[in-house]
Amino acid sequence: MSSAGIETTMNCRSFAQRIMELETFEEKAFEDRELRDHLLTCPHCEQFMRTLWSGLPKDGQSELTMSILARTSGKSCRQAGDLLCDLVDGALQGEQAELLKIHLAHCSGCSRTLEVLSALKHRLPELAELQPATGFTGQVLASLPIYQPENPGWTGRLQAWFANWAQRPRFSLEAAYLATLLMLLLFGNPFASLPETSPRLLAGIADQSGVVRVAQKGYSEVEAYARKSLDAVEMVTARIEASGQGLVRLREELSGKIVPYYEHGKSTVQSVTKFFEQKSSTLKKKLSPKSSAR
Amino acid sequence: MDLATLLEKCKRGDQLAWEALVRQYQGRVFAIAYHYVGNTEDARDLAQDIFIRLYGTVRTVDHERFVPWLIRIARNASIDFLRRRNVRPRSGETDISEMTDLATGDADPEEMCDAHLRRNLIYRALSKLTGLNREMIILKEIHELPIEEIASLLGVPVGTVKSRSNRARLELAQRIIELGGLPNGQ
Repeated sequence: MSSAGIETTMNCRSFAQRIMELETFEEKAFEDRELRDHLLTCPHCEQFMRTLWSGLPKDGQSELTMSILARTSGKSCRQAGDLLCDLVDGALQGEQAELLKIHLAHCSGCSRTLEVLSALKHRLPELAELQPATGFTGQVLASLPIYQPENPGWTGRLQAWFANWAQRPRFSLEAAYLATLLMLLLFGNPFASLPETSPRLLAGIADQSGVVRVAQKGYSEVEAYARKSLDAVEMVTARIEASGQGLVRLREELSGKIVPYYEHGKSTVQSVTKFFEQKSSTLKKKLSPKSSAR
Repeated sequence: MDLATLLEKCKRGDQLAWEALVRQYQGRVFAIAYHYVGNTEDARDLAQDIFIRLYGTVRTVDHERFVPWLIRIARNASIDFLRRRNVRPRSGETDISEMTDLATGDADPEEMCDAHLRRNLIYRALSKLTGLNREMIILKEIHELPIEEIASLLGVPVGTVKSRSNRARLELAQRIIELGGLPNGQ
């Protein structure tokens, strides 16, 4: 392109190429005559360079960055968020910290989050202690049983450890899990078909001689118990019979003693009766009217 | 008196030592209970229960492991309490008027008011977190338990605690910003 009598061989395309090779776009960098001449003759490139020299306004820059990020890597707030806690804890150093600070300088959301995180770092530990209402200590002390110090011994320590262990909230879940595992190990999967049942059970079934041996042993044990039971019954019967005979002998012995007593008593009663009858007839005779008239 | 001596005396049945121990740690136990149940009345009852549990088992603990042990017992008791109450471990909206006798140490009424507002805001933000994130904040940031201890307590790997705790802090910060940010003085 040429204008105002200045001849130049450079076109807009080669101008732009040369511009991109420069380290800086500042005006003083334009020492190259060809570039200057083209700039003087081409209003389009002049406008382009004016824009570069004046720079974009701040808001425009940020807007531009955001639109570039939106079309490339996306917003980096998520990655920045992952690093914010490390920055607050002082665990982020070097390049990563520098990059994060650049992001923070342009991202108000992350800066605000950083402020709150920094504040929380000091404020949260303050919540570790809250004082309950007055009188709490008294209530705790009053509700305790009387303390009985003693050496707990190893059993006491074991009990305390178990109590402590069993107080864990997941204890019941773990116990149920272990019990299920144990059942599966011992009896196999109840929902599986026979070929997949417990190897132990299958081995027991396959070993028939073993089963017979166990059955014989069981039978002989039962027989021995039965024999012992019969002996016991016979013994009890014999004792009952013996005690019955003893009772018969006792009855005979007692009746042998009682009969003489009875006979003796009977004769005594008879003689007393006779005596009173004699006395009575004598009295009657004495009291008769005949004898009184005499 | 240092903790080791205090515990040794408690184990021997010294009632004064026990009272001193209760006075020293009741704030912490009450705070844990409060963070889980979310209201002062339940927290006070629960803190009493926790001390009664402690009383029965204090003989078994070593002074170096006392604080993590205390937090573990308090947490378990709180979760048991919530389970009994059939409520998820989620503190409700906390009214500033509910918070009585907070240990601020600030004499200036304006500062005290700010501190109350700040705490109230943090509690409200905490109540909006998910269960695990809230526990992370309570155990790691508030009670400053070691990561290994938290991993054992929650039954998760140490790496999970590290990553989860940062996520929880970020979430808490976001909730606080949504609620209007921390009041003056942050």
